[in-house]
Amino acid sequence: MTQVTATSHGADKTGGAQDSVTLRVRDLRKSFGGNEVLRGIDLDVRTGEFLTLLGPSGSGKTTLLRIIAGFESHTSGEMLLRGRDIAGLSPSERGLGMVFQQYALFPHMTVADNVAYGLRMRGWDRGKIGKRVSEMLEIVGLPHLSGRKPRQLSGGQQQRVAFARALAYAPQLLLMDEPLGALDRSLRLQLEEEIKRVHRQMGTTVIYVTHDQEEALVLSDRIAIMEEGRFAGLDTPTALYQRPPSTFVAKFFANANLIPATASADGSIECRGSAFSTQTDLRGPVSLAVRPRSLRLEPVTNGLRLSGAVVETLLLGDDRQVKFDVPGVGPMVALVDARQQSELEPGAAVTLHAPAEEITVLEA
Amino acid sequence: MTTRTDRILDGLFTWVGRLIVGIGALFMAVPALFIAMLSFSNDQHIAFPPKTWGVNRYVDLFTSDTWAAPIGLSLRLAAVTAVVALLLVLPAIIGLKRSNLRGGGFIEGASVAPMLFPVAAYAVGLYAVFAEVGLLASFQGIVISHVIHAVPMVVIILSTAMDQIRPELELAAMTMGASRGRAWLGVTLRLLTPAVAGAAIFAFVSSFDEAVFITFLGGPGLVTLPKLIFDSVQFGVDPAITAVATVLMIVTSALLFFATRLRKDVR
Repeated sequence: MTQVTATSHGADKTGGAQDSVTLRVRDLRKSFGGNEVLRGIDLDVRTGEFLTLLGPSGSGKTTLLRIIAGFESHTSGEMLLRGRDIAGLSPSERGLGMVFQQYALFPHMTVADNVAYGLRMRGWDRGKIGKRVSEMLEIVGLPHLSGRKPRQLSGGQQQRVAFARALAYAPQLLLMDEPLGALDRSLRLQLEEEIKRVHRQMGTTVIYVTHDQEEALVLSDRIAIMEEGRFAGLDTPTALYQRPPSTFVAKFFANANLIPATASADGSIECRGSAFSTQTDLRGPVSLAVRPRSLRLEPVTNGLRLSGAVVETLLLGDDRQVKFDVPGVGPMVALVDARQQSELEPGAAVTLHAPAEEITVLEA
Repeated sequence: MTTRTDRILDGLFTWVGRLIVGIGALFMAVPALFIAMLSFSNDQHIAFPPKTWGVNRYVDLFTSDTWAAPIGLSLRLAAVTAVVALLLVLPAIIGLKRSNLRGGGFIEGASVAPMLFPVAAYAVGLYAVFAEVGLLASFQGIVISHVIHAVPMVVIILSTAMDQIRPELELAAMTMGASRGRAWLGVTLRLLTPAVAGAAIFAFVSSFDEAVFITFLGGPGLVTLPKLIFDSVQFGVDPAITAVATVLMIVTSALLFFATRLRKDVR
C-alpha cells in the first residue's frame, strides 16, 4: 500500500509533463442511437500505473476500453497515446496489448505460437521470438506447457497464456477486460497476485476493467469509478475508500451507510438528535457517509450517535456484522469486534457511535 | 406392487421395442446389402439368389461407354455445384455473423427455405422460369438448380461453425498487429476450414445424388448418373446398375463419413 501511494504521489508531481502520461483522453463521448453511454471522459493514464475502471454493468467501462482498443468508434473527443492521436487508427496500428475475459487464445495454435503471434506480426526473427516466448512463459510460470493447445489447459492457465501473449511485445499500454471474470474465487485471488507481480516486474501501464470492488482495491494504483458514462471518482484506492467524493462512490465502492443530516453555518452537523463539529464547507441538507467499520458500540467525544433496533447479526470471524434499523433512516450495517460480549439479539435496542473524523460529509 | 401380468407386459414391451428397432435397421440395411450382393453376380439378368458369382458387372461399368459419360457429367456438376455454393454462402455467412446487419436472421432463414419445399414442386417452378430464360437442358441451368438444393445445407454447416468462433479471436489478432485481412485469414478462415471442407463435401454429394431436378430440367441431352439409373430401370434393366449402386453407396458414405469427422475437429 505504501509503495502504491508513493508511486502515485511521485507521478502527481510530474503530472503536468507530457512524457509521464501514456494515454490522455479528453472529453470523450459515445452515443448509441440517441443513448449517450459515455458523457465526457477526461483521463490521464500515467506511465507505469495500474489504473482500474470500476463500475456496475452498463456504466460504460467496457465501452471506454473498447474505444481505446479501437474496436469501437467514439462520437467526439480526443485520445492521445504518448502524444500521438490514435482516434483514427485501426486496432493493429495502436500497438496496444489486450486481455479478454474469455481468454481469446487461438485454438489451432500451441501456447508458444499464441505468445509468438504479436512478435511474428512485428517481423521478429525466429531466434529472437523463441527466446522471448520462453522468457514470457517463464514469467507467468508455464514454461512446461509451451507445446500444448489451449483446450488442454485450465481456465487459469489459459488466462496466464493470454497475459503473456499480450505482454510479449511490450506494448505501451495493456488493456484488460474483466480478465478474472470467468474464474472461480480462489483462482482469482491467486491470479490477482500474479498480475500484480508481473505488473511490478515489467512496469507496463495497465488499464483494467472490472465490476469487482475487491479486485480493484487489491490491484490498482488508481481507480476510476464509473457511473452512467461518467467518472464518479478518480483517485487512489485509499482516498476513494476513506474519503469517497460522492454518495455513489460511498455506496458502491466503500459500502458506506448514507444518512441524511443538516449542516449549519459553522460546519457543525445535526443528525437525528446528535450534533458534532466538522470541517465541511457544505451547508443545508447533506449526506453522511459512514463505513460499517466506523460504527462502534462505545461512545465517542465528537461524533454521530445512532439508535435503532437490531435486525440480525452475522458472525464473520473476527468481526460481527450487525444489521440494524434506524427509524426514519432505514437499514444500516455496522462491523463490530466479535470478541466483545454484547447483547445484539434481533429486536434489541442498540446505540452506535461514529467519530467525526471517520465521517465523510457529502452533498445530499 | 408388481403383479405377474405387469412383469409379462414389461417383458413384452421391451421385446416389441427391440423388434421394431431391429426391423427398422433391417429395412434400411437390407436393400443396400442385397444390391451389393447382386452386383457380384455374372448372371444375364438380375435374379435372386445369384446363380453365378463374379465381377463382370464391374468390368462392364468401367469399360462401357454407357456409364462413362454420365459419371463424368455428374462429377463435373457436383464439383461446380460445390464451388459455386461455397462462393455464394461463405462471404454471405461471414458478413451476416460479423456485422450488426438488421434482418440478418431473416436472410439466414430465407436461405434455408428451399429445404422446406418439396423438391418436385420446386423443380416444376424452376421449369417454368428456365423455359422463359432459356436455361432448360443446359449445364448452367442444372448447376443453378443443384446450387439451390445445396445452399441450405451449406448455410447450416457454415453458420453453426461460425457461431463457435468467437469474434474476440479476430480482435485479439488485430490488437497484436495483424491487419483485418490477416486476422481474418489466419484466424477465422483457418478455424472455419474443416467446416468449409465438410460443407463442400455435402454440397458435392447432394448434387451427385440428385435425380429430380435433372429429370425435370435436363432434357434428353443431359444424362447424369442418377438419371441414367432411373432410365435404365425404366427401359429394361441393365444389370450393371447393381455395380453402379454399390460403388455410389461406398463413395458417398465414405465422403459423408469424412465430412462428419472434419466437422468434429472444429470443436
